[in-house]
Amino acid sequence: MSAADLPSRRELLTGRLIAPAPPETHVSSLVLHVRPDKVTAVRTALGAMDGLEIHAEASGKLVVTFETSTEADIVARMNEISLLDGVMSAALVFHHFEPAADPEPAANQG
Amino acid sequence: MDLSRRAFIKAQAAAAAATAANVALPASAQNLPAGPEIQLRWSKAPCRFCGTGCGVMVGVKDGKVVATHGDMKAEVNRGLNCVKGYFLSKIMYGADRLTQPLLRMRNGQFAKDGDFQPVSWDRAFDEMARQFKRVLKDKGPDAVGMFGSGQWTIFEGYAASKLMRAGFRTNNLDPNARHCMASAAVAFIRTFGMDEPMGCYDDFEHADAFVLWGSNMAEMHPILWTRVTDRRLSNPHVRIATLSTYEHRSTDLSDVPVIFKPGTDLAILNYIANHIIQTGAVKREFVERHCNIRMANTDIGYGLRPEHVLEQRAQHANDAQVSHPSDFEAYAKLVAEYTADKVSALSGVPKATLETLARLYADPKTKVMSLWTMGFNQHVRGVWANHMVYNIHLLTGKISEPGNSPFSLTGQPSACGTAREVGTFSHRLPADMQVANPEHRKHAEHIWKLPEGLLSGKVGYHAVQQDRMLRDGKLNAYWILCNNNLQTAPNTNNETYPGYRNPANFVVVSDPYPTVTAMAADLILPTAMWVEKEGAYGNAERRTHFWHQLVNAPGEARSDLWQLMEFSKRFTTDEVWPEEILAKAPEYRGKTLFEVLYANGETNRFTLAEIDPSYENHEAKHFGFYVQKGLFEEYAAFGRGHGHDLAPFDTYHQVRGLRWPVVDGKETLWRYREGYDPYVEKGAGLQFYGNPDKKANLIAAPYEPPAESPDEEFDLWLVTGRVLEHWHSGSMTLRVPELYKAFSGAVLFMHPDDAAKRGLRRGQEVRIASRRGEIRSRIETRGRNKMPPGVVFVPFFDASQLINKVTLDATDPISKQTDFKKCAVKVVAAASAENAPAAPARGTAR
Repeated sequence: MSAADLPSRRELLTGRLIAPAPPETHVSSLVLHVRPDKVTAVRTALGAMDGLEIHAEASGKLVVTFETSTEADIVARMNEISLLDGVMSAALVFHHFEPAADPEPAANQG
Repeated sequence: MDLSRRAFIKAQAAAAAATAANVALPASAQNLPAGPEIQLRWSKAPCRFCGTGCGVMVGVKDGKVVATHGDMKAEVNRGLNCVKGYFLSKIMYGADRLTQPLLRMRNGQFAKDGDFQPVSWDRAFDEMARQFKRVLKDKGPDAVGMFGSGQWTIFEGYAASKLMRAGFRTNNLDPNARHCMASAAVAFIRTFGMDEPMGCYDDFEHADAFVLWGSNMAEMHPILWTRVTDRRLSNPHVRIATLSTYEHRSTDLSDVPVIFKPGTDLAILNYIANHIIQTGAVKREFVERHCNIRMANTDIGYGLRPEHVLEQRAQHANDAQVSHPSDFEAYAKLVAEYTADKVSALSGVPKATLETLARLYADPKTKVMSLWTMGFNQHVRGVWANHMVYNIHLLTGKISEPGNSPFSLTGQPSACGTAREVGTFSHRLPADMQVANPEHRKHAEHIWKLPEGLLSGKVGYHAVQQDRMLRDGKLNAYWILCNNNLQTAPNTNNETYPGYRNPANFVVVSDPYPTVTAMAADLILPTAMWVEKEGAYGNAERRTHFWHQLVNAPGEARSDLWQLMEFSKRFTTDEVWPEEILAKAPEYRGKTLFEVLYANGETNRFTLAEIDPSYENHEAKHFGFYVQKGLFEEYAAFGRGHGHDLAPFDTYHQVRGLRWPVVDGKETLWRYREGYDPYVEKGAGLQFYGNPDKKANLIAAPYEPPAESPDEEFDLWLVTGRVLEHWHSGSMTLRVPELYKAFSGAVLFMHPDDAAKRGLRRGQEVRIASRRGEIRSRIETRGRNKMPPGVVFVPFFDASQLINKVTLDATDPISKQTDFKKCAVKVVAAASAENAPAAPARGTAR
């Protein structure tokens, strides 16, 4: 790290040190708990979300997978789902990621 | 990713989720095609964050943690993960990770006003030892102190306790857990004679009603919350009630949301007790057989500095902890004044809602689990609030059986395991023993193989007192490990920062990252974290769980355990123990503290051959013996046979944790109840055996107002707390770009009418000021937290908006825990020149 690259004191103090990530595909799965009377509406809302699939449902519990291109999108999508009317809880279970195109892991450019 | 591979991975993801949810997948989805396995080595560990104690599987590749997922075999979370736990693999790889000791220097010498420069560990410890010796020589043990953590491993807390109490002969050791659950811990001891819940997480699957007292569980304990919602969905009769001073996710999702005015939870609790008594719902036989009724001293002050007018005015500021024997009639009379009318007026809660809530407790057929965290504990009457909830469970006999469970949640991964069980508080020894009790000290001296009379019986400085004594120049050599106190302590600008920068003091901070606390120190020691060391945590349900070292720490970062033990080599008994002790026990003369504390024939009795050869263990290899096993087995001797039994060390590396007491290899799910707890005598049915008479203390107390309430000038209540994405002060989660982006800077949550009344609009920069200090923030009138008029909320994770400059250092006078939930502030527009667009958008890539 050269002196010019050194983080500022403010960045150190606030933790604002963000590294860019190479392009990736992320597959995640979620378990949702939904109020039974709201399941239909929640299914409709989920159906409108890109890259999202509902795999199973039983007594208000939904098993869902979704694909995103960044991890940040996972958090954003989680928040979006959590705030749907009738969703009581959304918990992550599985996460897999790999480079979007290249089958070999790309060299990390830092 | 090609299509078939994508389908395979999705099928795998769905299968994992279906298993975790106990939901069957359609048959077609169950036939997983065989796919290429990714070459990772997976090992178990508990999550690094909250007190829930979820199990995670940690995937390591080429010496780096690259993935984590919820552990299907962990009973706590059964494969589920919250968003923080999801990104655990990233917390160790922040770009600003510290890898070398840093000492403030000028011209090659330590200088309090110097700049941080990298130094070797030798140089760092030389200076630190020189300073500690100077202070010990000039002022004695009272001037040396340590601030530890509920995030320490059990081994670290235990090693620290020995170093401070036996090595330096001071009890000036306190954990940051003082700020988060001291009230709960103190009330447990006062009520049951033993710390920690009688029930466990299995209560979630048995309760008919959940009552959340000052806990936003949906956001702060999301995995436990899924167990609540699972129960609620599978059993439609189940009800969730949530009490809070503002609306948040948990109140939104509750059947009975209860928004009350700050501090009036005490009145609501006494109203419930009154309702139970008035409606004849008291289980008289239970109360007579199993309870003593006592009256607390009242008018007990607010734990401020003794010269403060509120302390001067209080009748029982100095004997706040005292209670007196009483009877049922006196208790009934005390709570009789808490009528629905009076409490509704005081709390702002409609009468009908109060009644609904009270009926959940009063109905003998409804099994109730009460859950609480910071709203109860960070309370100037936190101990009373804890007592009052036990009181209503005791009145109805709803305790110590599946589903009937007053349950104190914790915020840190080892608040129970380390801070409480090991006893890193200024008044505690391991296994609930007390510093002030000569028999307990003697027992500790015996287990620690130390000369009789070595341990001091003087209770040390608690967290807030440590800050005050640093500022006053009475505590001069100070070591802070594994916490970010400058950000999390109350009234930090007036009571914390001045002490750190006081020229009379030498302040050392051990941390993986340059937190605000580290940057205010004189010496920073770089720390190995989480799976960079072998560790053990104890969660909120008495579950002790272990992990192996899975990766090496970067650069010269070393675990707190290594630091504590290595530092002890720099002192000899002649330097730190009084002559009269050494004269009576001359065999200790001339030995290093390392020799008498850790190479004492007990701690060092397990050789390197006992280490699992498939894992690294930096500390063991450095010191030449199985450090963690030796410390643990020595520590376990305190509790075995006394109701705190821990399993043998090696067992914990095999299992997903066990709930103590572990007797004959069997864990205990419900304490004090025959049939569940082996310590209850046959035929007794139920025994609160922590107390000599085997009864619980029902301690009655009234409502008393907070230390500070809004007035004409400071006209709003300020509540502080956390948000979902960030854990406490954010020193770890802010290093995870995804979490940082999701909630990058703190905001002020305010009711739209309060904003309009002040001519403020959403997004505007404002000053939040109290009598102590002020910060700037931006207004949020929408979003996840909806404030009632008159109350504002600011999270404390953001180091650039230190809300603790504003908070009041009032504490519960009994537990000494700070009240971060109630002080008076005003909110005004920031001056227009300073109101120009702020710095470029935060969180952009660099």
